Amino acid sequence: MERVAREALQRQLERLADGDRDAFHPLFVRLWPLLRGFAARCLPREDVEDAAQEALLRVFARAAEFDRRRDALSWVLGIAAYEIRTARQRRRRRHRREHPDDALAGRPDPGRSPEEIAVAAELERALGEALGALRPVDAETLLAYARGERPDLPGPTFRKRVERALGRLRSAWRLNHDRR
Amino acid sequence: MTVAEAHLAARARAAYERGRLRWALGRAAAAAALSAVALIGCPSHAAPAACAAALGVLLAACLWRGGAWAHGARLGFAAGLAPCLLPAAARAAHVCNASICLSMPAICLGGGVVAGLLLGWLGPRQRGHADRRFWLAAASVVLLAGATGCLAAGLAGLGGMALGLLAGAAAPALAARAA
Repeated sequence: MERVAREALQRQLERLADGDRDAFHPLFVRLWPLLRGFAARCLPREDVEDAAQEALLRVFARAAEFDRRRDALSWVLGIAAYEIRTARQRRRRRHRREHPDDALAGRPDPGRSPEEIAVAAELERALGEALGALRPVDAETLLAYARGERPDLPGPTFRKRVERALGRLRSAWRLNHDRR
Repeated sequence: MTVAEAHLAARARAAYERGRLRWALGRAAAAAALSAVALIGCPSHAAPAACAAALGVLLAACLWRGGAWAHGARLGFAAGLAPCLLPAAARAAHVCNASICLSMPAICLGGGVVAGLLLGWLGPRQRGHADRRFWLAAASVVLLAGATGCLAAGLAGLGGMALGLLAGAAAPALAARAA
């Protein structure tokens, strides 16, 4: 918005806040296209008109509260932004009501992205290599631990073997990664 | 302007008037509640309560109308708080305990002088002071606010308040003329 138009908006809103009804029409003519344009940038076309109208009515309903020390444009757009957010929420709720099966469509995909899948595959391969470098007894201990199985051993002994095997796995992992 | 826009403008205008009335009523109710403090320890409640209610209605009307009316009413209320609350403060400080108190007219006179000084000194510095409606609103509101506090002292209290108001308001004007 140009500086001159912005100053005019400030003056008109101040006059209306002061109770000067003559400022109503020029302010309406200035605000309506502004709010419609603002809503059009933030909402799908079918929701623009309703949201802009709601915002306009809200601005006029609260015009008496306007404090002349505040910037009129920021104040108006703040109210409009709130109305637009409300319109978005309304739209989301309507969509969920109309398409109950598609209730999760608006949410981000919980599945992994191709990049994440590639990274995980690389990590699994590196882990396989590190496990292969361990002694067979250590690898068996770790696999049994990962599967939640416990061989026919006393608990403290098995825990000790797991700790030792994990230590060796870490060493092998570091060795492989450092080499790369 | 299209028909749809004209319809929207009418709705916006109605929303503005409703919002303004709500805003004015909220402020007037707060002001009336503040002036109702004057009823504390008051021997008779009916007349001061009626004044406080009338003050609320008058303030709501002036604030809703806006412009010089609103500016005058704001100043009148601020100035009127002195004669409104001073008698209650005097009662709270046990200056007056009996239902007939001889010092009350003097307290109302003092409150009136303070209110008049505020009106005479601050009034010409306010927006819209050149408008007759500004002074009409200020005078009406200050009288009602003062009456809420001073009516308990009877006609002597009201007279003292009015006298003090005139004297206080005239002082800045006379001082300005002399300078």
